[in-house]
Amino acid sequence: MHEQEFLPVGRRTVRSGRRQASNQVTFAVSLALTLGGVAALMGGCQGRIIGADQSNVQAPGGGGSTASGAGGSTSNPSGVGGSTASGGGGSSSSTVCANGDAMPITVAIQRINNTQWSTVVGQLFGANIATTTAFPAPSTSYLYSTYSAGNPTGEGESQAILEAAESVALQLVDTVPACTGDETGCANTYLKNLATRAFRRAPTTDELALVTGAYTHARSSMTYAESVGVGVETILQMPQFLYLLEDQPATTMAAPLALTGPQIAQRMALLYWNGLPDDTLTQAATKGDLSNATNRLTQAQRMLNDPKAKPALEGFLRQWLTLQGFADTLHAPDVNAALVESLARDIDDALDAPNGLTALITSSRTWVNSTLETFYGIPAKSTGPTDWHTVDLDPNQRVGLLTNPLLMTHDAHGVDAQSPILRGKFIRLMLMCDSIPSPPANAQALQSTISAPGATIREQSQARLNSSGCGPCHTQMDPIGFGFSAFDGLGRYVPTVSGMAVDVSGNVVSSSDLSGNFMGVRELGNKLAQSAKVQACLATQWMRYSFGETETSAMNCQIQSLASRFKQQGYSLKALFAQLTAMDGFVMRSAAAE
Amino acid sequence: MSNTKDISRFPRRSFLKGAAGAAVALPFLESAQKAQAADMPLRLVIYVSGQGTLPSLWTPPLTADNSLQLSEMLQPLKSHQSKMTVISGVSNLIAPLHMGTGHVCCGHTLMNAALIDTTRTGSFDKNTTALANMLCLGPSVDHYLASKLGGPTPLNLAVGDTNSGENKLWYKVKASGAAGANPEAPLDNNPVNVFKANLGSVGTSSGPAPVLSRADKFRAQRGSVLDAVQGSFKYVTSKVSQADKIRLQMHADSLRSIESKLSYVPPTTCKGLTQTLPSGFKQPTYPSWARLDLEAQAMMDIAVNVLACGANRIVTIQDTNYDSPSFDFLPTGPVMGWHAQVHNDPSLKLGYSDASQNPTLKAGFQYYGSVFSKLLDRMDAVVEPNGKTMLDNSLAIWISEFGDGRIHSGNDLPVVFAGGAGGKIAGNRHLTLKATTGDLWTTVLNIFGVPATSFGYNGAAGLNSGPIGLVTS
Repeated sequence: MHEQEFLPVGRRTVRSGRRQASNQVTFAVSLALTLGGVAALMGGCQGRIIGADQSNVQAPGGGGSTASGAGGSTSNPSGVGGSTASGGGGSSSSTVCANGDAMPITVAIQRINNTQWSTVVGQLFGANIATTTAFPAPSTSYLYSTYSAGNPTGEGESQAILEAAESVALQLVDTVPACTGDETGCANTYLKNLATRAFRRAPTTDELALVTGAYTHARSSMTYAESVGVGVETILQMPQFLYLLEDQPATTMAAPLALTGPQIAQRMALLYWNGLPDDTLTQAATKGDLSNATNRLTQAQRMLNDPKAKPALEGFLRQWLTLQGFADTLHAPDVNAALVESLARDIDDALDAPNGLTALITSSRTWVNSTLETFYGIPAKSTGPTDWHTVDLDPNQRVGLLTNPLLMTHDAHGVDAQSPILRGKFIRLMLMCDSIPSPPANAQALQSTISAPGATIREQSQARLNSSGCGPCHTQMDPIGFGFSAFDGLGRYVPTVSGMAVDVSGNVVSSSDLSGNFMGVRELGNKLAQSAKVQACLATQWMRYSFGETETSAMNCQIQSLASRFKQQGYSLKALFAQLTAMDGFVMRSAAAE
Repeated sequence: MSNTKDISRFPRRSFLKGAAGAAVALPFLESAQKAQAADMPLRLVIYVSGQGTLPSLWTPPLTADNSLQLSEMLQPLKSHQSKMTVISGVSNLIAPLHMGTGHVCCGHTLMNAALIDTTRTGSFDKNTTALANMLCLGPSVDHYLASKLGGPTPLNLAVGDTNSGENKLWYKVKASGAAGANPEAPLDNNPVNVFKANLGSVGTSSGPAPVLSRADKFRAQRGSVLDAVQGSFKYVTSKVSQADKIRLQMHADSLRSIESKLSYVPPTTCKGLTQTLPSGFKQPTYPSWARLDLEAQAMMDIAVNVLACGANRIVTIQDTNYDSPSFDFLPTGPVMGWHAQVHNDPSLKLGYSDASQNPTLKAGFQYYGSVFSKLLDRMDAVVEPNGKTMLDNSLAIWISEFGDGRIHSGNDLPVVFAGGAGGKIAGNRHLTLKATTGDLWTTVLNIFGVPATSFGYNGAAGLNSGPIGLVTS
């Protein structure tokens, strides 16, 4: 199984193409300035770590080196977490932010994704309209389903959208209200009202003329209701519907532009509800209330407490924790289903917890039904699969979602093939917001030259760490993954093997407040929950999700500001989500540099 | 060069307009349509160009597996190679028995393989010119086939003059008991009139009234919907960045690309069609035969729509101007003395030891190939309810009255069968045979399910060998 260890470990890559190139240039400069980075430039696996670290100018902090001696290279092009505002742990920052809160945001145009499509169609036409005809799903090559680059509109996607829109139109034909008088008038009214909701603003005369033109064309060979359906189908393919259109200045030299009320409302609605603004939000937008940060925060809090917010928030957290959209073929179907349900319940609890971050990644409490009681080997209390209750598991067994069996399975190659690489990489990428380059093309071949056949997983890791070619990168992953050694590929807790305690000692190589040794996931989880780097990273992840791309260094200050707000709110998840809208920059747009 | 542009690209949706007057006409269907339908009727299109070809540049090389390697003259048909069978070795053996001139004997007999009178056979004799221009007994294969299929009289279209002179190809089926030869089927060269006569009432009283599912009807609106969606991009009212503009443009380009692949649905409704003639089209009239390429386009548009709407199953298009086409739209045009150049007439002092060296001839004969290719483009763009294209469901034939026009040879005619004929013919083949035009038309009849062992005059040995063996798919 060891060969699989060298498969590209990232089921999602961290950054998108254009931004990535830009960041790597930035990084190369800073790396050259970094003493500790010199070693990282050696060997086939260059030790580039890109992301939200605490410092980008200091030599690596303690605890960084392993046998490879090349572990310490760090960089921080995004500069997240470097300021004192983001909390402890940081020592210095390359970015001085006077007022990150007010700095405008640069965002690439975002198209609605398949989840948003389903929600919006349901809101527009009712839940009886099936949206199973495949609206294009986001590319899994990107961190979040909201990523602009992950939701392109090439020919394949456009064709799928066409078919999806047509499917919706076909279904609603029988629900189009009959017209007793002037058909054209009826159709215009129906289509105008629909376009107003779908576009999140009133259509212009020209826009409406195109829609009614399609209706009129159809009417020569189709019934009234069918022809209205053709108008609907047109609306659902128009850019005014598909894109989150926001005013942006034409050039980087131009002054930032403020979003209009409807533009603010549509962003908040898609962000929190995956859907359309409700009447309350629309009214606030119309009145101009949303240009005021306090009003936005009020609306955000209202929206986040609405049940409609649950899918979007859960969606974000599950994507962050890489617990969405992967095929779990290791667990039995009933166990898998129970774990998915349990996860949703755990996330719900964390959303309501005062310190949601800590709850999410350290809580030993979880939801179980009869299936999971058996799975965890705890006394039966549930009367069946639908009877759920919470239970406090062994704190070493249950460290929040870090040891969630779904995650342990996600980051394993099989029941008996846990992967310290994948598990360490998950922490590194998703909780620390660092980045690790892809393995070199000859990685698998390299492994066979450095470890003997039959070597254990740990021995294979050690061989990688000792290798000058592999060590620089794997130092960032494997030693963190070691902490998970007591969890098999199903996520079952196996602390001893043949009477011997499993070695769960690990190490975080970082110049941040996470640096150092730890013993088992419990210690790791506690470190992570307390880390300013992780706290800032979660703010970063929310920014990424919200604006649909991996940040550039230009976003440092906004992220710092959000991280600071997160801290002030005691790391409440809902507060984090809401505070974004309270930033002045949330409604200001600057042009993307070309 | 600009003159050639009009035939270089087939504007898939521009040739007919809907009754509503929108820039969209027939309903459309995307090529991946999975509609369920009964088998589509097999249809026949025949395109005839004049003066044969340049045989040395036409005949594809022999291959061990009969696969087709396109020759120079066949290059314009490259995009349809997979749906083509080139047939070499087909000769008009009736011609030597006909008493007409070198042109008449090959022209008049081409499509009917018949004589003027079964009692009169022999070579042209200047002393018997009274016989020389007599019509053949006929009927031509298209009319004969239509009579067997029970459909309407074939639509015989002309590009150029309606008087096809020495190439009178089309003959009706004589009414039972009527005296004399089969009457010549009149040609029509006026696209406006042809449209009115053949498509003006389709879908009303005389045309088909097919029933399509709601899903089919929606699919048929895709062209219209995509037009509207594309139009909406210019009204994106927010101030988008340059990068976003590029992205939106790519989206719009995608829609355009999808739309370009749409095909119109055969008869969702052909009711109320209006005609869009090729840009710049003017009805050619004697003696000025300028822009016959545009007339060819107009006729092809009609032909395909007639077939799509079920107004007819058989259409022929004959380029009648074998004598003096100017080819004014070709880079090599205008051409003076085409007929004489075909004969490599020494008086022209062209200086070519062989006609095949003459670039004017190459361009002209290749032009005919490009016309046939455009016809196939149109047919292949129509996806029919059985999920196949019209071309797949049809047989399209390109033929000329001569093999080597320079010597008035009716031997080794250039023959292309294109289209799947409803799965009866495999493409990408080159068959080298020894067959007659009678055999060829016998083959066509059998493809259409009309049992026949011979066609036309069979009163001499070697005229009829039965259907030729095509490779079936």
